[in-house]
Amino acid sequence: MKKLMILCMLASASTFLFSGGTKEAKPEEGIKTIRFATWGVQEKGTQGYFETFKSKFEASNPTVKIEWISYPYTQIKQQVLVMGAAGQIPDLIQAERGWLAGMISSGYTSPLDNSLTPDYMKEVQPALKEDLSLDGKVWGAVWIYSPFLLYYNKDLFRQAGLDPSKPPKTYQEAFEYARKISKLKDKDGNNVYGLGITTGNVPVSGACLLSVLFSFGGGIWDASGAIRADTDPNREALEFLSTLNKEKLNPEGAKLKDHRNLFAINRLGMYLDQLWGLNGVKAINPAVIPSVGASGPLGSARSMGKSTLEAHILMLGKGSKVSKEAGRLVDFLTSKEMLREYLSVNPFLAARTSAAASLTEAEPLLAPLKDVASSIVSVMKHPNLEAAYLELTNAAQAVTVGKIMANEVVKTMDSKLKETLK
Amino acid sequence: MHFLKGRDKNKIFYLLLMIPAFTIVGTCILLPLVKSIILSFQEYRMVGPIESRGKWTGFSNFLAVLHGNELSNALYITLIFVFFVVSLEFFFALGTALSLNSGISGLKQSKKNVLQTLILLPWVTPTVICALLWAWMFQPQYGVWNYLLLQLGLIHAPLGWLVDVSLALPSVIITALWRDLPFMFLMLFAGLQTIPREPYEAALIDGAGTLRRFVAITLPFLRNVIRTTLLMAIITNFKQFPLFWTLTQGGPMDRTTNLSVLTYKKAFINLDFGQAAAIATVWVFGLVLFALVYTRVFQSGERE
Repeated sequence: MKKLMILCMLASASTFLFSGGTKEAKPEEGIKTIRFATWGVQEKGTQGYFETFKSKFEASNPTVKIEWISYPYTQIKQQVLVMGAAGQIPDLIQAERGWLAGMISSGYTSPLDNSLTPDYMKEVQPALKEDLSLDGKVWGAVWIYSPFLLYYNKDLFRQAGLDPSKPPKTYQEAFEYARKISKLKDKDGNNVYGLGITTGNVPVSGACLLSVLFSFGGGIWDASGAIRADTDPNREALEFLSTLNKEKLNPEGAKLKDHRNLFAINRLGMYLDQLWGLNGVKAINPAVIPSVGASGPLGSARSMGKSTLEAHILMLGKGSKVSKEAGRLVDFLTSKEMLREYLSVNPFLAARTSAAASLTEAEPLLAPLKDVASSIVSVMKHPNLEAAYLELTNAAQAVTVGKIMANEVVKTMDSKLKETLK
Repeated sequence: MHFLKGRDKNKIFYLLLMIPAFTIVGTCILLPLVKSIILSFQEYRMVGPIESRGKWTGFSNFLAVLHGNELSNALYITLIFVFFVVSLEFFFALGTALSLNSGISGLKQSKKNVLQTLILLPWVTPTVICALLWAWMFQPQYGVWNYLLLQLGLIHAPLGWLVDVSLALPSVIITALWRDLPFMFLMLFAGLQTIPREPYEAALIDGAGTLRRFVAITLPFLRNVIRTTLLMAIITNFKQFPLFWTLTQGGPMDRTTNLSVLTYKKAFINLDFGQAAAIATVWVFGLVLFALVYTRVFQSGERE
């Protein structure tokens, strides 16, 4: 009897343990649900805006509901792909531009051509639409975008005897500015760095470095589209990084978050970042924001300033039964009114011509950037792009902390990229 | 059930009791392990064509990861890391345990408890939190280590602890040491407290010195504790991931890319689960083989 009781208790405990899980909610009659995968609703800075647009969209579309599929930024790509493999791909997916090719080749996303509204298609800037297109189809809609631009601290410019209304236009000018800024000390006697170009071991640093290569007239593929990185412009770009490092003008091996920290505490005069990176600076020291200036990508003797497209894009899950509704949501999110509201939490540029001018009027920081779309270079759509970005960070680390000669590094970079992007 | 004898009934009862444990181990450990081994023989790229996913490719994933120096570099980094962390950990933990064991006897129980809790603090801190703390302390521009060393005049320029090719791995080793030392200390200290006083008293009467007492009494009594603790430390550090990923993401220039980081990069950056599973299979079997040999060596030592 005692044994039987023990067995019964064990059986009920096991049933309790293994019967966990959630029951899928029954959809309400006549209501369509857009399952929206995003990281924004989890982040403190943007959470409020996400809840606001959800309630506004649902109020103006009473038959449509938004259901969050929320993951942290660092996990969302993997989680969405795993959901795809399990046949649970969300209807709408917030993604980075750099993930586009990987998501397309996963087979879990669909083109948006039949879902996007005619207004969106008519108003989106052609260069941005082109960058998110493959084989004549649009695979992603730009929500917000930015190039890698130059942020600079006007107060430090003044202290260094530089004119804050005249930021540098080329890397060579920026180098001279950086030398002057690096002679300053902060109030505790710490060094001030002149120019931050991220070389940290993360894909976004690689995207930034690719923008630097473009601006030096280089890149990682030639005119025929073949991978080629052992070029003179690339060597010059890496030598530039090496010199910055030798003269201690660039915080070595730093990620963007390190640059944002240093910039916020007045220990970095200029650095390259995406527009929304300013949120990170603001979170640390809001007092520095009034002295922040922004200008377009730096150029060089060989080329005008260029950048990869950095964008938060929206992609459609394959087989979505609410693709039309998802298209309406994209239209709503990229409308002038909603982007004006979003601008209060996050600086960015708008992809739609109807919203672009309105944003630059509303945010003085964006004024010098109104023509910046022309500086964007469409990056190849290869599923291994992020791994290629990491190879670029390896190359940058090799010439800086590794102290290897740039002409040697471009050869290694060339062979590694050919392997990664074959 | 009535036709079963009492002893058989007991056996069935014990087997029934073990079912939940087997179910949990089977679903949470064995199933993923088997799935991973199967994946290592398949093409499974999340960013490749769907129709090729799950296609049997024989040993091609293994050949692909053996091609180039990625795997050998990761193995080298892993072995160096394990060697330094485990040996330094053992040396410091044993030293601390011995000195506390002899010095603590005069202390009150409450003070002993406080002391042990303090020593255990790093070990009870979650690894990721610990890594984040040390990442801040190692930060080259505003980290506390550079600040202290500069103030003391021991360095003239900030050191790039986690970004310098020669300092990155030692920095991760220091962090791992800080994190894991308390556990080894606790095990050895507990082992020391179980050793009876009589053999020491007899050795003292016979005129044995400190070293002789340590070699002839302490070490043999601690043998089993040392064997288990070292094996656990080796396995834990062999598969160390959160410290490496949080501190350096495998950089700079792959100088801190151990086997776990390489597996993660293959799986979640290259999204090539087949190759990631091949790497994981290689090192899981390597580790199992090592554990078997290690246990056999200790057992044969015991028999001798």
